Amino acid sequence: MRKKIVVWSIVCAFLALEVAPLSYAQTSVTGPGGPASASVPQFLEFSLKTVKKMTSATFNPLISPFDQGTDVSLSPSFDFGNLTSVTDTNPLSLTFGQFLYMRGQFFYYVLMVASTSGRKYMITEKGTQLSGPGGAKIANESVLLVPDYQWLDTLGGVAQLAPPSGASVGPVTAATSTTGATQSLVYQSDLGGLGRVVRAVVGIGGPAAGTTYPTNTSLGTNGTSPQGTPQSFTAWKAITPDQVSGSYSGTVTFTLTLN
Amino acid sequence: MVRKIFSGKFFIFFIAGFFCFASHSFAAFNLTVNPVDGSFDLRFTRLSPGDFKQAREVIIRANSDIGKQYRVSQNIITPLATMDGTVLADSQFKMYALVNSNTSGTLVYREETPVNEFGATLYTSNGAGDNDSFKLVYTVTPTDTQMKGSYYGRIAYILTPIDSNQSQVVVNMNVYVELGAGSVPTVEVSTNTGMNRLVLSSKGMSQKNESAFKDNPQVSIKVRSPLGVPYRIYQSFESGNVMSGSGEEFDLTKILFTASGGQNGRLTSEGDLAAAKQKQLIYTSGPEGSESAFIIAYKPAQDFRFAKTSDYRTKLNFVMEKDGTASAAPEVVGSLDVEINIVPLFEMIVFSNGEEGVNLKFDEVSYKTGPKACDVDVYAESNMGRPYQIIQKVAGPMMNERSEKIPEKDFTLEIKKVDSKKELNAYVTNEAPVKDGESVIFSSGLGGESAHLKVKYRLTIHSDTKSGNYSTQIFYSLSML
Repeated sequence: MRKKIVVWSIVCAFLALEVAPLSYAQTSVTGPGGPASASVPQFLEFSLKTVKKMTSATFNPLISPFDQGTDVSLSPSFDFGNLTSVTDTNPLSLTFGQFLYMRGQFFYYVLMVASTSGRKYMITEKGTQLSGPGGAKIANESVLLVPDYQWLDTLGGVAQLAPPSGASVGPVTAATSTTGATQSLVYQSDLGGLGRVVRAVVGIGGPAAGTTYPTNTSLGTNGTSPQGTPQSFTAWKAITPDQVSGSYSGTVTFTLTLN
Repeated sequence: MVRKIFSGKFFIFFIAGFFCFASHSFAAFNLTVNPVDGSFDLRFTRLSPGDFKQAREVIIRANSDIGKQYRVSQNIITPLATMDGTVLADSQFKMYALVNSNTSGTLVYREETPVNEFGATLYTSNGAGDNDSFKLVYTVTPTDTQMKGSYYGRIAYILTPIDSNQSQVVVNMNVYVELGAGSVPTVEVSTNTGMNRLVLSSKGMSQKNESAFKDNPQVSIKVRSPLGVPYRIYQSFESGNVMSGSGEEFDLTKILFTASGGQNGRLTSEGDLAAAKQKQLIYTSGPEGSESAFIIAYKPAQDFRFAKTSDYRTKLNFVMEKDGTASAAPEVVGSLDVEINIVPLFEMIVFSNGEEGVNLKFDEVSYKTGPKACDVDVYAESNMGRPYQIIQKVAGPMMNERSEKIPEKDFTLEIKKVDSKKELNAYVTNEAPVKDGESVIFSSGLGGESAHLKVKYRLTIHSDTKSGNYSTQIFYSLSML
């Protein structure tokens, strides 16, 4: 009986040797690991700078300025054309049928996206007063800078929505100044310097129908209604028909600054 | 009386006429062929390699009184061959005429030459066509490569008058030759290792080293003697399917072969062994069935190591089929033990940037360059027959020196390609964010088939992305379920 036990032990040992090779594969293998790396350079520039020339008489506010007007980005020149009178067409208005202001034949949309690699920035505008024949000038308060921010403008195919927290749209103001050095705020970014499509309208015109002063809002428009605080340009002056006729010219500059 | 006289005259005329016409009816023109040993046939006793050459004399007698010159020639009616069609080599069966064994006429003098000519003239009588006889000597020489068997043939001897209307006379003689097996086989099958087996193992094979199998086993096949009939050589697994001890069938497409040589016929130059489950044609001789030699090299296919892990054993036979008699049966001329050893495999290999390992270098990326992509090739190799998962582990978001992060939505992955032959499997088919921590990016089918994934990582940088050098660490692991 004792001999049998020994024999079985030996047989079992050989069987174990036979099957051993199949059992060593692991059930879990840690593969290789390594870095994923990228270098992101620093930028400070307008990555989108489009200048669109709009015809005042035919401009449709319901259509994006990207999709109408004439692109003059390659050689931007703000030619406002002949000034024409705008009269009050609202029959309920007390001034119905009366002269309101002189308006340029054309006005301009400047569309910008700032690239600052995530640094806080602001976009400003300055302009020299428009000078005409015999030293005649157009009042600075008549040449308008209307900053604008549209929530439905897209970046990378996606609506940009509300301005980031801490960002704001500059108020409507004069596009020119007597010294030409006055910087007017177009857009103040948030702390993270997120890129957004910012609009600025430059033109000779007046307030929208039913309003006294040219006005915008601090957070732009969400597609249906103005958002944020209304910002009226109470210093606005209408150009009157007695403005000396002739060609007037000046310079308008947009600047991107880290702040 | 008259009647007696008439009867007597008739008898005299009859006798006279008989002798008168008998000279024409019984003119002598005949031939006899007899082995000198007194037998009726030409017989050679068993000859084996190393034996002396055997010779048999045949005496040929021509009797003629037609007064015309005559000629004796020889035809091979049936070449010496075995029942299965193997023809005796020309070099083994020869003849020559014994000089001066004739008395008149011209005995065609010959060196010892193969008995293979058709209509070979042996002897031409003198002009008077006198009776004569002469001797021929037939020889059979044993060789090392001779094929064992009983060879039978038939020779016709033809006595032909010259310038006479006399009919020719034909005498046949059977020839029998008994040969023992040659000391060197006619068909020799050997391996480059000298062993009587072929061993193929996946040990050492890997994605990086497909050619680990440097010493591919080779089989040399030599057909040393011309067989005289067309023949074919096949390779065939004795058991049909090749099975492991546990009942797994080996996929024979995973073993490839190439053949070279075979100068006198048509060789199947390459293929896999799937057809050898039945019989796979390797070589077809020319119509003469000439000698030939070729080498078959066996090597594992690229996916050899993916076969189910096990040991597979069988026999590979080399079979010769000969044309000829209906009774010619296929003959196994060589047989080798085959051992296929598939070692367990559960590995992962990753390549990126053309090198092994993980190294996703997006280099400089900006909103101007647009999104950049890096591909990682992940090879999951398993022959364990069980499902598994490929897991990706990400150390954290991509961050720069100031711990500023790339948003999850801007660092994405997508599996673009899956090479997996049969099984259904699950993987990330749509672009998805690269999440921190562990995530399953691939699940194999139930059979755990090996797979090759191409994982495309995409990094998008916006105009407001903070500058800097961003990085993270990505790991992969393979886990059996």
